[in-house]
Amino acid sequence: MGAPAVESRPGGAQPPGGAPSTRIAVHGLTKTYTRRDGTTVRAVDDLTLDVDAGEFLVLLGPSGCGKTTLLRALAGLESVQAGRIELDGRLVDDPAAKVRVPTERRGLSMMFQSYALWPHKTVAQNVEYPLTTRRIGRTERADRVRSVLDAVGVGRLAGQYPGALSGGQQQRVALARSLVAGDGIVLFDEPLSNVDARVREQLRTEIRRLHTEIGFTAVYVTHDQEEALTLATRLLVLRDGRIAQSGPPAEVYLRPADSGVARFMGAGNEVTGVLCGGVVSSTVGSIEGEAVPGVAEGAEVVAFSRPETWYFDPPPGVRNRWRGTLVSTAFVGPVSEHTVALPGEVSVRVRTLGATGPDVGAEVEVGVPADAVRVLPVDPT
Amino acid sequence: MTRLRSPFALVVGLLGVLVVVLVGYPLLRTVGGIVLDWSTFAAAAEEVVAAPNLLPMLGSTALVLGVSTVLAVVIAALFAWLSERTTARLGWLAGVLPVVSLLVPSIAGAIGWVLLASPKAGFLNVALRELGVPVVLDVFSWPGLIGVYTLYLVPQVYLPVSAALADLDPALEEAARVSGRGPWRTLATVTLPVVRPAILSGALLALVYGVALFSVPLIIGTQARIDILSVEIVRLLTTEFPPRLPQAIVLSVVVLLVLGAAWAVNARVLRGGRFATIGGKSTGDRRIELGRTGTIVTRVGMVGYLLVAAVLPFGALVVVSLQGFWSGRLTGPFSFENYADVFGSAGSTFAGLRNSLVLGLLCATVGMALALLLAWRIGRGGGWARVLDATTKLPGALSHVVIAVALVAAFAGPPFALGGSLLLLVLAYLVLYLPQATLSAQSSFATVGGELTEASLVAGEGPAGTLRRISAPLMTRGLLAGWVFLFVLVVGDITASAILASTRTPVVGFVILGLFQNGTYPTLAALGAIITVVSSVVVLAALALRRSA
Ligand SMILES: Nc1ncnc2c1ncn2[C@@H]1O[C@H](COP(=O)(O)OP(=O)(O)O)[C@@H](O)[C@H]1O
Ligand SMILES: [Mg+2]
Repeated sequence: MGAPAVESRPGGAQPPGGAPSTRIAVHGLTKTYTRRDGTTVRAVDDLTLDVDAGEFLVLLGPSGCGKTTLLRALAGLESVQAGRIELDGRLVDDPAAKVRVPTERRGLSMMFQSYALWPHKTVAQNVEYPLTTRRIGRTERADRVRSVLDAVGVGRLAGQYPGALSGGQQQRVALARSLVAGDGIVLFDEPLSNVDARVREQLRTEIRRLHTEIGFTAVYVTHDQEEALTLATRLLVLRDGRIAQSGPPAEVYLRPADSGVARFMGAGNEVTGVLCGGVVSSTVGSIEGEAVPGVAEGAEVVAFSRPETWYFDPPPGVRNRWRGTLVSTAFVGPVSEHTVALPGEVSVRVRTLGATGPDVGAEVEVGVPADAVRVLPVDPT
Repeated sequence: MTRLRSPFALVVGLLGVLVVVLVGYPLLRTVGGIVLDWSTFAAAAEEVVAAPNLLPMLGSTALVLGVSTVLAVVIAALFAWLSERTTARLGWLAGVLPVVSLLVPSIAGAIGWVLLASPKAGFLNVALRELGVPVVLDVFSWPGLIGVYTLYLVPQVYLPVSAALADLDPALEEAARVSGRGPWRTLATVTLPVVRPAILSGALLALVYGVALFSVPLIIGTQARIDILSVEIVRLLTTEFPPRLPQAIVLSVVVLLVLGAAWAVNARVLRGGRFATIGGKSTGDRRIELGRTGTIVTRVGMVGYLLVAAVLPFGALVVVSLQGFWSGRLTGPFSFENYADVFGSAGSTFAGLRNSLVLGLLCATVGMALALLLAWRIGRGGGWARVLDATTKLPGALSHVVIAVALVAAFAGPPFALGGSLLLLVLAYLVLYLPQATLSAQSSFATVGGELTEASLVAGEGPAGTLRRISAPLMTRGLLAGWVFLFVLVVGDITASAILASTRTPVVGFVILGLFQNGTYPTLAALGAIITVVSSVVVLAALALRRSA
């Protein structure tokens, strides 16, 4: 069958000159489950995807959209019904050609949600384990274990058993174990969902630093959009087992492909209307914005904008501007969020820094630049 | 999908086939025998049905089993609840209670109760007489027989019910308490209904075990003139000459039909209702406060059960084994002569003891190794895994008597000619206790399954290496428990031993039966005490080892 894992490990994978090479290629992947009542679920539905060397790809989406299934299919922990998966150019899954390389020969690393540290092995033994299955000498193994444990900040715990560690420490050990094999492909399944917010933020920063230092290729699953935005070099939003949008984090956030993605990525102002002469005509008047490709004249659309792109007393160049009443203000620390009622039964949220902004009940003028408004089809396709 | 056929997977596959053949062939062969030789069996069936004692025997068997199963369910469910869900728990006692019947094998317990409560010379009756209490306990009676049955059925129910209760999410009970129910109403309206599947399967286990229980009805029922099915089947095969296999098979089919009906009822009930999923995580150690009186009553009850089930019968065995004859008094002269007899001249006694210990070690080790591999294969899923799963549980659904009879029918005669050989005994023990072995291996797999093993596969270690380096070490405790269970079951076995052993291949169960028919109570007591001590030492050593592991 395939070449042994050791030979397909990176090092040789990245061609000289630093041009990105494809490390994961997924084509037409489909995985269905049959529920106990006989209905079938397409957890991953005809999905095509490439991941280049050094990318940090984050899979984001609501619970049940197929993130875990896709990740486990890459690892060979789930068998798929159709499609192909190639890792470093090696075909590892193709039901049509009856190819299925077992998990242990895929040469991957993975960090599990439950950490999955083996309680009968010490921290050092846990971290060393992936190296013992690859042909690496004893002293080099010890060196690499020590340096990766130091890198994640738990070098002093090498001799401890996992049972004696705190949740955050266990997580660091699990991270060390998934990174010890070098600049390979590392899969993460919501690895930070079990620790408190502070530890989560620390680890997030550290994973990003290690990614820059080591240069591994990551596929990272999360349902937390803030985590996704911080970590990703590329963001992939999944919905019902299909790709809803893929691109750099800022683009997905600021230029969502449809209202589903837009809403999932964070709060927004939505005004429905009809696309008419390049502008959205709505109850509040006409709104200028940037229409996503494929929206036809006369179609029902949503003008979508983020609250932080709105102004009170907008500068002269802004043509989307209305007078209204400030209905309420919520102070949430770094920002304040104001709700403004506009004519035509439209209400919008406006964000300002700190505790600034007009008083409740005041007559105000608000506005949003045209390049901050996305014109989206009403129903996500 | 191509699966790489590693040598390891191949070996496991072969072992699986072997086990399926070993379990399936005797049963098919027996059924086939009936079909092929229909006239013989028709005649045998007619003879069995025409026998005047058939109906009374079936009736008394049903009565004894029915009443003792119900009693066992009540006692066991109560004990399990008290020790898992309330503050009345007595630490060490909760650990010992389920294994009491392993400490004192049923044959020793039955003899112990004869020594305690036979009307004339029973220790308890002598004591009552001397205290001037005008009450005579008679173990050779309906209540006596049912009582001793119950003692041996309680642990069968206690194990599954206490496991279910230990996993029960305390919030379920707390919700009932908050809604204004007292501890007893909570027990009745929430706790017991939620663990009903476990109670039912415990009752079923008790029934299956009770149908095959042979030592108690032999030793107590015979003298009480209460005919029990298991004794009759063994008699047809061992005391009649030539052995009347067809008649024994016909009676076994009756057992099979009854058990089949019980399984069907159980399956229906389980399928019918949706039961609350029991939270896997026990959230802390929140228990129901029972109060002082409740705690004291509970502990007295548990200690009382322990006395009745283990301490008193074992004490009686020890005392009588040290006496020249059974007087019913705790007076000397005491000597070790009876033990000398067991180990000395009376050739087959010592040989039986030695054979049983060797077979116990052998079968427990082979059995658990086999169970580990089979459980691993079952865990990998697929159609074959389902076949293996069902096959390894099948002996648990049948009565030991049925299986032993089927093994005789299949292997004793040509072409195998294993009748009266140790190999046949080994095969029988392996088949009989396959359900216990695979169940304990599977349940310990369940605790180390999921991401712990997946993490090893992702790290590049294959299935065999993952089993060796990750799963098996993590399962040590569970496997050890399974090993002890098998060892004690084999050493204390009497049903299969009575049917399959011979004077050339004596085992403890076989020797004890011989002594019961021709020997004296003191020698019997000595042998009973010895196997009790051997079983207890192994069980307690393993408990200690588990705690330190
Ligand atoms: N073993 C299974 N059997 C049946 N359905 C499943 C199974 N595992 C996942 N699913 C279904 O597949 C879909 C995707 O699940 P999953 O990949 O776990 O979602 P996510 O990780 O994005 O929350 C869900 O609808 C889920 O109910
Ligand atoms: Mg998931």
